[in-house]
Amino acid sequence: MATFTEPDKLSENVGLKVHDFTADTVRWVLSNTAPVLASTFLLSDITQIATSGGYTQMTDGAGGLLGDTTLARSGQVSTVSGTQVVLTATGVVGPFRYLVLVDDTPTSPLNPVVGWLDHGSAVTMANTDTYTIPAGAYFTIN
Amino acid sequence: MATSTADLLRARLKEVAADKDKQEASLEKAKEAFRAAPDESKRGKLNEIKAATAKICDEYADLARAVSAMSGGTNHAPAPTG
Repeated sequence: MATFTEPDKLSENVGLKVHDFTADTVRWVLSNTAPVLASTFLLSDITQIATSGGYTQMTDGAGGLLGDTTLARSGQVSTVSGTQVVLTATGVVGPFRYLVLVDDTPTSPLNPVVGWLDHGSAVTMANTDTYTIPAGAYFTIN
Repeated sequence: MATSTADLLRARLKEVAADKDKQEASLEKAKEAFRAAPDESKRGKLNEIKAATAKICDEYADLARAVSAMSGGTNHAPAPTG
């Protein structure tokens, strides 16, 4: 699958018990502005695309594209994986290039970023188009 | 009047979408209950609900892409990088 990029802060957040990748609610956010490793840590750091065509901007507890993550351990390595998410456009969506995974559960820090996928180029969806965020292993913790 | 394959797919997509919404709501409720009263012995049960949710999400995704293609839509996804 596409490369999942982790922000610098993720490892610290894992160590500080910010995330529970089994029990937390996660949402995907669409953006056309490149996230930055050293500073895209929170939902509020993301420049989201506008609400339109079946996509709704994420706020705390709502919007974005609802996803789900799982944590599986083998030996000393745990892998965080996600389920497949599909958006079907009911009008124009985008353009967007980045799919940013946000943990909707923590309150301090509020809605930390888990990481992101880069489509590689900007996408504009038309009515009836779909966008698939693939299932797969996103990153490992060891 | 004959029912087309596209109509059948759309009807099925609607059914699966409703099931998916219900399943996702159940999962979120189970997560909330787990977070409210963490009990590691119940994490396995939560994972079972997650697996069932993933299964219905996959079915929904397949149908959504098929309906989109039949409607002349484009199915976008990030390119795999191996």
